[in-house]
Amino acid sequence: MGMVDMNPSSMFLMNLSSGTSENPAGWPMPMIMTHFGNWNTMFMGLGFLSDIQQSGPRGGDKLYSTNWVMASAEHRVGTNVGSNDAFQAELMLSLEPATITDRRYPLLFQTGETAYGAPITDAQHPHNFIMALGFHYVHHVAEDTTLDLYFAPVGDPALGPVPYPHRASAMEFPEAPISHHRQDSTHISDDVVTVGLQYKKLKFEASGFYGSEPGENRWIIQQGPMNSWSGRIWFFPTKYWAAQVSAGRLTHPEALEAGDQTRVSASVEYVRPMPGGSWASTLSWGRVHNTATQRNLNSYLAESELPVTRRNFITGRAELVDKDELFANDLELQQQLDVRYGSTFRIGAYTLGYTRDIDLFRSVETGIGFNFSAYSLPNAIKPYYGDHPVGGNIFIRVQLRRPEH
Amino acid sequence: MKSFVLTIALAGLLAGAAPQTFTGVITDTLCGAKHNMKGHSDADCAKMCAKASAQYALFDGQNVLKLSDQKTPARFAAQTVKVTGVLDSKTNTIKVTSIEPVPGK
Repeated sequence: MGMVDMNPSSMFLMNLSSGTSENPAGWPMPMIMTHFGNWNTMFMGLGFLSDIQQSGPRGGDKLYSTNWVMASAEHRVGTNVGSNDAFQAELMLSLEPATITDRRYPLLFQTGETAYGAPITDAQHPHNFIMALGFHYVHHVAEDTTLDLYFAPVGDPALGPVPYPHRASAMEFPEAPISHHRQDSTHISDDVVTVGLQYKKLKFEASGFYGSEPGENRWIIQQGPMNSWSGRIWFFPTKYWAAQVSAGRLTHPEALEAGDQTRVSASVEYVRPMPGGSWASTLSWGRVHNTATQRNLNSYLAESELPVTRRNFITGRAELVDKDELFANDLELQQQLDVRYGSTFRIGAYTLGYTRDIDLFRSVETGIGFNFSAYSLPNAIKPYYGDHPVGGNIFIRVQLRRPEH
Repeated sequence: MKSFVLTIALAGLLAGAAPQTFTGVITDTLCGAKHNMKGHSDADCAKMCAKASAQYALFDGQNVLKLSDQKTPARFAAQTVKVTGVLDSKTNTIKVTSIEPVPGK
């Protein structure tokens, strides 16, 4: 495997996904591992070149690329052979600020953050160039007990499920789920400090962080005071299951929206080894309460990636999401709809997809695929979206992966 | 004639699926031939890796072969064993019939 000088803390670190979140340990994470001297290094990367086409008055078309690469370096702490502590530094970068032009790509019913000073509606923002820059110190307290101290100028606090770019069940989707800003949008936060304690099958975590969502300059680190907090409990019944419940209080997260947010989340992930890989599935719920509007916005997600054979993947995602910002760029219309129908609309998004791997390179898995999304929406907003809005992506996917033995 | 051809084909298939015996050391798919956990035995390392993303496997001196049975190998981590089963060369996995320790190894 190319790793050296491992210890139990190294193993703990190897299972982490974004920040301190974890997919089920039984999921063979796609990565390349090697070492430089006594430093163990891991490299991960995923990129899509996609063309999206959507119907209806608010649908859009675009060629865009979502992508990220991550590198981490881990080293045993101390020279004692029996030392079981470890340190890890990690850096994750994305070229999306350049590969997603015009500060967004079309995604029907998606909302969150801003572009050119206006709220983003029916589109998804790019990720920041520096998606993560963090450091872990892991202390092996006892055989079944591990303490993880995590500091990240840019990182992922203990809130919500594994974020979608890193989730086992979402690796074949080029686009974000429309529940992203109800469940896992804090995955790029600034000035994150997390303390985590794992005891057998349970892990308890607490975080402090700067709660504002990233600004429009995606090339910089946007620091701020540690004004938000969260807590999360994980439960790993077996190596194939990972469940979490979490809650957090975010101080003024949205630049153009008054008030703070309280977020609550629960999710369960399951992976099942298959001859062609791992069948990964997620069920997730997230609720956002805004202190200014006093609204509770719920979201539900079911997502699965099934390797039918080693080279063929079928994907599916179903969501129900409460949206109250769809008309944030037309305040007059928003007020009219508010008076007549209420402020919140429950949207359903249903996506089916397929990816076929084509062996082109030894350590890079290349695939071609497509997906198709249909939506359900209240009659009140059909005049603005059409009766049956649909959309779809065709894409090329590349992913770093260790070659099979 | 048809039945003769079918019989021959069936016999061929059955012959192809006949169990073989593989001798090697129980390891894990992460470490393969060499364990690298300082201060811990190879058995502990294999068990720790198998608790994480790795799976128990057999290292026969040249290849790391995955094992369909992931429970029995835990008893023989880092020990030399004789595995009986059918090898699927596409997935590099032995569909295990039995695993027995090799005495004196």
